[in-house]
Amino acid sequence: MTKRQIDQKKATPPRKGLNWYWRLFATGFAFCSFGLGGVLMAITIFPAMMIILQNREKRRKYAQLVICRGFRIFVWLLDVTGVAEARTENIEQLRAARGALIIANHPTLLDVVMILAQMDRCQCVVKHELFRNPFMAGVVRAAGFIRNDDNPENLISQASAHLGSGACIMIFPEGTRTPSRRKLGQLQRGVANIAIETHADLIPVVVHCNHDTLKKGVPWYRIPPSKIRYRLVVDAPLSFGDIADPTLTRAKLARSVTRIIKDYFLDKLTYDFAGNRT
Amino acid sequence: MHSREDVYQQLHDYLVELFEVPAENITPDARLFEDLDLDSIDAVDLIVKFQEITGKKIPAMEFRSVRTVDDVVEKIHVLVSS
Repeated sequence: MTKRQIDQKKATPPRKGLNWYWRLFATGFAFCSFGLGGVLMAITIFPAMMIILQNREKRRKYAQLVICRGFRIFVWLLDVTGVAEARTENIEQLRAARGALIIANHPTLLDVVMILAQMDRCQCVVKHELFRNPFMAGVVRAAGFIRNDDNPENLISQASAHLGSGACIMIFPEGTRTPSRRKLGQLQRGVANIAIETHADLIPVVVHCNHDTLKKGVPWYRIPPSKIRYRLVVDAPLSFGDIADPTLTRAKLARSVTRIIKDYFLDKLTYDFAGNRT
Repeated sequence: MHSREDVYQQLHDYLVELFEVPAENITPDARLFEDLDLDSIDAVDLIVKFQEITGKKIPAMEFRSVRTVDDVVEKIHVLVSS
């Protein structure tokens, strides 16, 4: 190819073939089904559970199972329609975990869906807006998910009750999605503070995605040029005893644990989706 | 710890020693959360520290409206001089 031909190739945007239009349609369809699914559950299964299961803990546990299975169906739908797929490594570790904090980087909108689809039960710290979102409010309330805007004492005491009962808590240390074209956003210290209070171990899930897509503020119809591929890598737990220096005061310990988490993810994310060094 | 300057100095020392804030970032109008990277749990720790040193109960509600270093100094100063 001559230089001129290369320049021309760069100048023309990629041609939008049939596959692109199909994925656009399928993406819209999938997101609609997601919202509808949330509403349907909120008006059928969850109210039924309110009547059948009197025990709140039991009810939440089953609600979480319903959510995880619902996500699994949704992920299957994404896969068969060619929108997105997920590959996993060491996912058994996640299923076997009890009373641990599951922490993940947050490149896209669907990370939590991809991760929970692999599990049977999980507690989550979710952004407070979801409690007012008409499609999701019923779901997050039924599952008893933890609000991220609650006052910190409340959040930590709720988290420690859940961990104590053997539940795992999924939380994104960044607190929101990773900004576009960045490996990792700035970490909040919430995870560290929960761990300090509860001495829970941290199970890291490194989320790799082949496209820079589904970012905050980017409309759903701006779809990537090919199927979205996720790779979820579960690693050995970071034991709290190993990463925490007991001589530090609370504030310094929170900072040091947060730095360890940050370095851990940055280290793992030096390799991209395809396993190439970046 | 009576003058405003004393309170400021004490707060400055706490920020550096307890919360690893670089001294050069601390100015009267530096915002605690955005500029100095404190979070709400740190704020509670800070209130407890000032309670210990002043011997006065500091209602957490008082600190709801606090945004900057100077706001903290003002609140504490009013409390100790009352």
